[in-house]
Amino acid sequence: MIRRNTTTGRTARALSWTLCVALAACAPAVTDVFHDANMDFGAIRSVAVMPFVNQTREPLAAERVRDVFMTMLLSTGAVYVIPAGEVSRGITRTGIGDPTAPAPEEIIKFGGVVKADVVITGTVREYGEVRSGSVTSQAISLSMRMIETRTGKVVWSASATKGGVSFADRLLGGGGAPMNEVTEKAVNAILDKLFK
Amino acid sequence: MPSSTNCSNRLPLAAFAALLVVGGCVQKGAVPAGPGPAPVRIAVLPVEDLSGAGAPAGEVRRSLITGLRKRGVAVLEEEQVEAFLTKNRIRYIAGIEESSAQAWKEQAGADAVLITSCELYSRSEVPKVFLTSRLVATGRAPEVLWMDSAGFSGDDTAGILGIGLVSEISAVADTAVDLLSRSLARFLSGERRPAPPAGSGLGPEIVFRSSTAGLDLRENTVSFLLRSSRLDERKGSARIPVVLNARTAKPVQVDFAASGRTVRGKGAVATLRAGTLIFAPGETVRSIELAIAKGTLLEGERSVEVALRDPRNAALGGPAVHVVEIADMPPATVNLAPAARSAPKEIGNMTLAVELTAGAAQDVTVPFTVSGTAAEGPGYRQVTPSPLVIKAGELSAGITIAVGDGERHGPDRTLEVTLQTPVNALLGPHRVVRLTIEDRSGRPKVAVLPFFNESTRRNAGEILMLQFVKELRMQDRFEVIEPGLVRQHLLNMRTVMDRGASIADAGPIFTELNADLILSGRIMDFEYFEQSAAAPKVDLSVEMIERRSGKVVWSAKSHHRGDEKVLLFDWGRIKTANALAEHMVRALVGKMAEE
Repeated sequence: MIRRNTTTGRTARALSWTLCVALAACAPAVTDVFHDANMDFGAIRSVAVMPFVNQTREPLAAERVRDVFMTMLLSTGAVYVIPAGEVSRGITRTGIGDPTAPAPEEIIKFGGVVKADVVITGTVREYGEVRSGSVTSQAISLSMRMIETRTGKVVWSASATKGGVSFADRLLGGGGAPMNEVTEKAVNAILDKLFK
Repeated sequence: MPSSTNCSNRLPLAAFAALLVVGGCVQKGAVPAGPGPAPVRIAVLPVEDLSGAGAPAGEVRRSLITGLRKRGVAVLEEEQVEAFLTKNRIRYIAGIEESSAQAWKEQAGADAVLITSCELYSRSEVPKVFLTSRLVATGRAPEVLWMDSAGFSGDDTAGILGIGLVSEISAVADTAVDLLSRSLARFLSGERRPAPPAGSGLGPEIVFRSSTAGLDLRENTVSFLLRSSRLDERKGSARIPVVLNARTAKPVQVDFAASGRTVRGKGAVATLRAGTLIFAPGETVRSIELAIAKGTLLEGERSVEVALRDPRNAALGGPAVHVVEIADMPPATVNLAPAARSAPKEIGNMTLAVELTAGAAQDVTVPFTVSGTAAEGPGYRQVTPSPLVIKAGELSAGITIAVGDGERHGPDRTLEVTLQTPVNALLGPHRVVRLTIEDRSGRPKVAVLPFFNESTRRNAGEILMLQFVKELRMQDRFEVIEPGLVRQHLLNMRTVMDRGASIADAGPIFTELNADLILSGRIMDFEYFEQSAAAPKVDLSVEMIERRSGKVVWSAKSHHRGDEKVLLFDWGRIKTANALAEHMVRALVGKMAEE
């Protein structure tokens, strides 16, 4: 009897430890933020936000997200955001072929024209209504990159996804939060990742 | 509920009000009878159709003319107005510019022009109309004197069981026209209503305000008054004036310290402990005390640089570095000490130093002249008479000029002080000083550009522009440039702004229009669902660019729906995108005025 209890106890303990290690190994690592360790982010004074890539069905999704992002970034007071009209003039003057994905040498030239320390590009991957069964809600998914105009190198990148059909939506129905609120939450999440 | 707001302009009313009094005040509801001075004459322009729905602009205009005449307002005949437009080949009816404003006065005899835009004309089951009108003075400088909006929906007075429902679009249009003409008649009779409160729960979600912008959104700067000064080491100390370009509501701080290597010769030069100057609210001038060390040998020229840095609640203006040159054996020539390029009007009395490079055994007499675009009297008063006398043994004296209020707010004024040939000394190379007197006491002038329209609604950009012009006019702290003038200058400059104003576009606009601020923005949504019960939606962002810095000093983003403030049974529902935009713009402009 004593021999059987000892064996069972050891087996139970071994199984518990194995489960703990397995769960710890499955815990997701944060992989959606990149900060260049050599970049002095405190030295950034002015930022130019380029037009975003639109991978969604909503034609104005990229412009809407860019508008919210520029205003929210400016309102932090941490950096000065160059107005969209000035960015547009800079793109025309430097002859950037695809402003949503400028080449490093184009960014260096552009930075000199508009007097920006860094340039931010972005991609809107999802924007608008999502459906799960009979329930709909709004969702947004976006990613951004910051490129230093002195070197043309990427010094920061991050992504964020907000909205979607929640448990409460499934249970109680409702159309979810309005798109503008979901957008602001996603932009807030991105800004948190920028300033952390 | 029908919506109507009112605004008025105080400054040019001095002239217009005089016209009203001399011309005979128009009594409400009565045409002036009997002999007497001619009443104020208004030309009602054809109505601009921004509805995109083919509004009957002619009918609305005739209704407006009838409504104004019924209230005793003198209106030019339609044929006379048409003849003037044809003769002068005027096709643009949404504004007037300088040349046409003078022609209206001289050729047609109109004292003011009424410009009306029909923003909404919905013939749906519940008809809706929204009109915006402004009265612009004719003559040399067209200015907006009065502006108002009036919107009416057929179900605004429906009541219980829909008994009061108005289903004829013409009746709805007549009600809106009646509200506007009543508002204008009240203004012409001298009645002034306070601006409606901004708080309506439809404020912006995101707001940015630059920390260096004053209450009027113009940038506050702190700088030295003079670029350099010259001192005799026997004086022992120097006071270096530092100025703010305007009175501020918040305290301004700026650090100072000796900087650079500017000592020539030997020996200790001066003692300056680094510190912080604090301007209390309302203060515009402070001084830095510099203790000068006495040398024991003939050390030649010595100098100290004092630099300003890290201002709080203001930006660094020019000059930010002041050089004090300390002399012990200067030659005997007379010079004007270099001064800053500009000084604020609030400085009051300003003293420019005239310096001798060596003490003289006799009095030195220096004749001088004061000239420039500032007018003597209102612009400045010469306190120190010419010639200036530097007493024997002294090394400097001052020319004091009292800076006055000047004429009405206009381009910055300049002052030029020139030294003439002195007696008992030689004239040095620095004999002229030119200064710009900055006048921040007047209201800042704002040029409102049409908004960049990303929405599906045609003319939404122009509609938003008109709403901002109206709400800014109601705020006493801004002077809004007539949109017709803005349009004229944009066309003259061939400015094309495809995504908003750039710094390169803003520069000429500031100069040509003498504007202090440019307001522009974009409209993402301006939706009104005519055929369904869905609530209207407006989404816009706005930014204000300031002249001196060329930067955005205020920006905000606002998005709302018409059913956000519904309490019960549609009470509080805003039925049209135009009325929703009006509330949002009012809240945004109210936010602009907050510190």
